[in-house]
Amino acid sequence: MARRLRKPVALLAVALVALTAASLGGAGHQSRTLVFGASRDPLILDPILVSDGESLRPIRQIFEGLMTVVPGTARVGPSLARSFKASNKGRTYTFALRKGVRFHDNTQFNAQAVCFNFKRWYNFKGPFQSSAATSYWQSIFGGFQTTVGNTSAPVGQQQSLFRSCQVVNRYTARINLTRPSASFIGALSLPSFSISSPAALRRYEADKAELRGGSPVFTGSYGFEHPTGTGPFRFESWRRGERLTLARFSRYWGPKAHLSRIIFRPITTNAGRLQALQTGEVQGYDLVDPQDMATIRSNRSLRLLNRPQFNVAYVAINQQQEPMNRLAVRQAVAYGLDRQAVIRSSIYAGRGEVAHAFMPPSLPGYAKNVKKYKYDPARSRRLLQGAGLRLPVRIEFWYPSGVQRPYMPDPPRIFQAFAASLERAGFDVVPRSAPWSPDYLNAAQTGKAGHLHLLGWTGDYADADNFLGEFFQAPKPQWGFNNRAIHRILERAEAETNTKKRTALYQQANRQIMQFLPGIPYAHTKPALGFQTRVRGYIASPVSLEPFRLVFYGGGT
Amino acid sequence: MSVAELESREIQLEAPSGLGSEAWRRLRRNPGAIIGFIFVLAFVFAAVFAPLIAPYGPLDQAKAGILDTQSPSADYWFGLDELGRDEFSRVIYGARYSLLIGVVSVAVGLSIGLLLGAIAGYVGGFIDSLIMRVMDIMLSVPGLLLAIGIVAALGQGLWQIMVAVGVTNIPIFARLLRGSVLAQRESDFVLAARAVGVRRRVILASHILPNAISPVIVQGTLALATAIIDVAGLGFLGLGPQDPATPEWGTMLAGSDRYLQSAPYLAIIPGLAIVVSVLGFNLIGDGLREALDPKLRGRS
Amino acid sequence: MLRFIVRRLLLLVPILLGLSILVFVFIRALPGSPAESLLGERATPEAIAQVREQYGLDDPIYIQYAKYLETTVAEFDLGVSIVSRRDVTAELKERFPATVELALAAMLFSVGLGIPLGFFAAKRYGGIVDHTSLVASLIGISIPIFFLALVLKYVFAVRLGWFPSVGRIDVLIDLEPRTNFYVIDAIIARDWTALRDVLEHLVLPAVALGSIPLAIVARITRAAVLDVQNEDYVRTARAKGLSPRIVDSRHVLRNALLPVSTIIGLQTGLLLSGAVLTETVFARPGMGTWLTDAIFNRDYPVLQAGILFLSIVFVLVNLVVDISYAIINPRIRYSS
Repeated sequence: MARRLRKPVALLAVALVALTAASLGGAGHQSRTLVFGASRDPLILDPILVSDGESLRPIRQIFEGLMTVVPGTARVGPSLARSFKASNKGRTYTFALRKGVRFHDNTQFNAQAVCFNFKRWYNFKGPFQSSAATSYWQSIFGGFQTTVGNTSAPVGQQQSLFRSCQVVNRYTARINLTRPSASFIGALSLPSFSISSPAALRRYEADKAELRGGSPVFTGSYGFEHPTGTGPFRFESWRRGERLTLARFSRYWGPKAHLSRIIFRPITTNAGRLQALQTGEVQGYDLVDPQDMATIRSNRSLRLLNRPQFNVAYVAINQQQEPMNRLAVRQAVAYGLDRQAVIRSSIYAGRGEVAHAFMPPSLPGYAKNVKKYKYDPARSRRLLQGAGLRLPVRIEFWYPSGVQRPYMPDPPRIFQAFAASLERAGFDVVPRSAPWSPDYLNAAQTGKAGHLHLLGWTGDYADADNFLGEFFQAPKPQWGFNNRAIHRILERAEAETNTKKRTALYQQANRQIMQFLPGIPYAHTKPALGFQTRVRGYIASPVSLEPFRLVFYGGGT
Repeated sequence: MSVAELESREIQLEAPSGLGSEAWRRLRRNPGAIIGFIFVLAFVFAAVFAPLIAPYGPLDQAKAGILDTQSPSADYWFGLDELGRDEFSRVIYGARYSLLIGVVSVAVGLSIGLLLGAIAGYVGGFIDSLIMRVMDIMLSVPGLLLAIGIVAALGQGLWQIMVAVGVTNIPIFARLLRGSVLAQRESDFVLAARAVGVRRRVILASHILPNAISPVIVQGTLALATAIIDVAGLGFLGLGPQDPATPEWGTMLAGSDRYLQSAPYLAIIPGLAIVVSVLGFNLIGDGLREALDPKLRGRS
Repeated sequence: MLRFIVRRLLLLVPILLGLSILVFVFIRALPGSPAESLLGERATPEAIAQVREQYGLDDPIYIQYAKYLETTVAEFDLGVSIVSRRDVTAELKERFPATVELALAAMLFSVGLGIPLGFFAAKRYGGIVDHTSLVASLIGISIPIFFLALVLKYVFAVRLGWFPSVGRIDVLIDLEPRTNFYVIDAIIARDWTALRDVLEHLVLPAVALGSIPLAIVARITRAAVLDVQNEDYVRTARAKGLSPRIVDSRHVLRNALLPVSTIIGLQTGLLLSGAVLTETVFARPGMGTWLTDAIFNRDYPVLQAGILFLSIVFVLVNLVVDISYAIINPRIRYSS
């Protein structure tokens, strides 16, 4: 007994004193496995129930939808649907489905499976109607068939965009909408609308949930132990806080994955992820800190991968807070933010450009000839004085803590730079901060985040509606204004199916927005991923959802 | 907070003795305590005369328009931080915050703790058990978790942090004082005072408290040290002051985690500042305890 | 003795009840609600309002507490985590062993190194060894634990590559987690590679976490040895002509370890506090990271269960220490 106890002790002591532990550096023991450094665990692996990046990344590997985003672009392309036809003035879409596709449980993918999934979503009841559960469905499709219980929020009450799904034949499915929508097809590329195996959904009680303490609690095991899609990788095991393991699906319909396994390993801090990459404990991670890029570049066994820019970072203005309702004051903020200096600094390390609109320049609808605001603190002060205000004008400025976003690599640092430049422009900045989730987001979305706050957005698919519509199509407490002209033009643009007219409408909207200044966009960025050099085939995507199917290990070790 | 807690047990075992000339003499002969005093004096000096010592303001960009780090050089002894501010000046100004945070949070814990401890010890009975059970409950939650919870409830900010760290100190001081009061309630001079009809409150204020003061001083010094460390820990977990520009050492250190590889001096310098000031208080506390500890008397 | 134990156990009841009320009320005083944490960037005020309404926050707080007490005590149901949506009991079973493993390793390190250090310091009282170890131990308790952890990790994991930098085990190793104490699991599975790997993952966090207890153990041992050395029975033993080595091991060290053993109990709280920071730096999925996340996410059930559980452990450890102290040292009598 004593002997047995002594062994680990002795081993520990040996490890401590002799420090002869095996080096972990570099070489992969099983080179067909990729370990990817995530920032945390996914929430659940049922696609429709999540909207956060850490859940969607593995979901993108396990599942497929009717449409997908073409690797490396934001363009929408075919996936489980080989093609589609719009009819009935954009109210009906008929999808020709891919044949010979199998789910991981070996059941067949067909039109019935498609309709089963859409009907499942549309018929969600009770806890599933909480927007905490189905936020993407609610933001794209609006409501549900029936609203049950006390889930009587306006979001759920709008008439749903979805009307019905018909099985035309085994491999043809038709979806009828209640009104024309030009962004419907793009939205289908969201991983949230991936198709699950109907058999597995039923078998593992995906629709079982209850309200406990008022929050939706999913009691079925589908999303935790048996997520079943058609993707190139299937779920293998999940140990919270340690690893989520996916294995290659050998009966995948397309070219099979090179890797035999992917392991997602949660590491909370960015410094921790970089170090794990250096020690070889992970082979890749997302959102490399700009100041670490030199470290990665100077290491021959590591490399950087650039993600095309598809985001916008902005300083939001809340017009409910006096005196932000005055245009002159908002203009003073715009002239008082030294965006150029921030973008040029190592905060963005040459990976950003100054934003002049609330959407990326690559998207149709972007307008070059908008009003631009160059840093001019003297002009800001004149504007403030002209508005009859005594300098300095006291404003509360919020920034999030404990987070980094693709568009906002280091919020406190960006905040400090902006605060300093605003103080030169006649403002007295009161700093306010809260942890990103939930406090900060909550304060921002409910209009409680002071006069100004930092936020941004990464696009989901290539459509101006996913940016401008998301921000300004309806009055929101975050911005605290009601500008009929802007809301109306964005409504019209969303429904417009003529591409040319649509583009013109969005361009017009961009010009109006930058005149009205609901906030000040300041950056579009190119985020970067860090990888071991021998990892190849990872195609960085602007929408941040890369297919690991294409990844392989290159020559050498 | 737990270190202080441990130390408090140690002190409690010992009968308090006054900070007499004998103790002073011994303190002066303790080289550790002298070094501690030097550290703390330097620390207080930096805090008080920060504007005279620091070449730049803590928020000023040393070179206009430069928002980047720069390694230490002859011009900037400790280099520039990630926003181009002089790190040396920020560390000097940081002494003010650390001193403020340490003193205020200890004051919070000390005043409330002493009050509760005195009441519990002197009144006794049901009130005593009630107070001490509440203290037990507070002690049974790991200190840092308690502090995190308080900051989460009160919101982020300098004052909230001081209150949070202060609250975790309450039970330590309450126990300490209760112990002293109990020990002296039955002592000859208190009994004598009671016999001649001195009122309870007066006895407490004029006889019992002064005699309990030396362990409190020792404990207070050590609590100052842990307060600085705890605040740094909160900062590391992202619960530091609202203004990220605050040149508070914990906040500076927390933010520098991300620059560990590109600008390691940004982590090392505030880290050393914390270690040196905390060490100073610990050395003094240690020396004080030894000077006041009858058990160690006559050994050196 | 038995009366003392029973009395102490009974005392647990009001403490736990009080703690549960305190935690319950306190948690509900936190601003924000758990639902909001789930909404993320796509939160709309309507969505938040909806979820808030669903929360049944209309019940008066004492009714909420009564309901909570009923399910916890009567059904022994700790509830379901709001964030991970799993049983809190299941999560607790995974998280607690991780922290215990770390805390024990840290304890092992601090006691294993601290006692000899303190002993030799006392033996060479006033000498260079004594002064050095005193200063070193003071520096030890003056370094913020996360700073030390960051430095250790950078130097020994990243630069030198001697130890891994994150987690409890190499994710390429498959080890069936039967007990969730990975050391034990590896031994059960007779997987020596895994065992070695698990131990390697423990070294740096244990050293970081053990630094403060190490300093304290060394100091207390030193003080205790100094005390005991002047006791009559030690002098007698010496006078009898016993060799110094035997005197040291039979009399001095054994008696000096008494105060050290109490300190070990008290360190539980310290280790748990430190574990929050150490686990964060080394990305170890234990109680510390679990509860910190729960505070940020307002994960009520996790917080409630986790804090209560830790407190029970803390109180029990101290009880055990007190009892064993009473057994070892008959001079101490516990009056009721």
